[in-house]
Amino acid sequence: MPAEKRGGFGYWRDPIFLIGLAIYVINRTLIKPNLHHYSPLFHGHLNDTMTVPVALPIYLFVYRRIGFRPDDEPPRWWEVVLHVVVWMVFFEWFGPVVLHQGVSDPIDDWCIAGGGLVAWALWQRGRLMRCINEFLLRCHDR
Amino acid sequence: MAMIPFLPTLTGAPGAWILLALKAVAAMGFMTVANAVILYAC
Repeated sequence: MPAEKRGGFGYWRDPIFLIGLAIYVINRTLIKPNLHHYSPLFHGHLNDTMTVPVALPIYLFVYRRIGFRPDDEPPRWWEVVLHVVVWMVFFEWFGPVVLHQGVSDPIDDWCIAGGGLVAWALWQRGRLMRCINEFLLRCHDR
Repeated sequence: MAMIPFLPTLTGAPGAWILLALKAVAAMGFMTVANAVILYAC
């Protein structure tokens, strides 16, 4: 691992990752098996929404171990966008069309992207709050 | 290059770019395997 220690992202210890993982596990082991009718939310969309908060920290941790990621900053916007695009192509086209595994559904794309947007906003909440505060102070000074 | 901090400088030694390319290949290999695991297991 590179020597640079900048940033305090916890990867597999990150609270957003742990909450997302808990939601995924509870849905898979407790909710889905006990549903008597098909539920689009619990059988599909909820898992897709958890893709970024659960999968991305693991991917970034491996990149960090490889030395491809230079620091431990929380996921940057382009890291989230890059993975969302790859996952959309992989899960909505390559899987169903080429591997004949899974079903393509445009709503899944929105769920993956929406989950990514919310997770990114939570990961970057400190920086976002500082930006909003600076903006409000600037407006107040005028 | 603050947005993409892992990029070596354009005038950097060729070794830095080769090392970066090897790391990128390793990262893409992991990504492919991990995506397949998610697709089949989740």
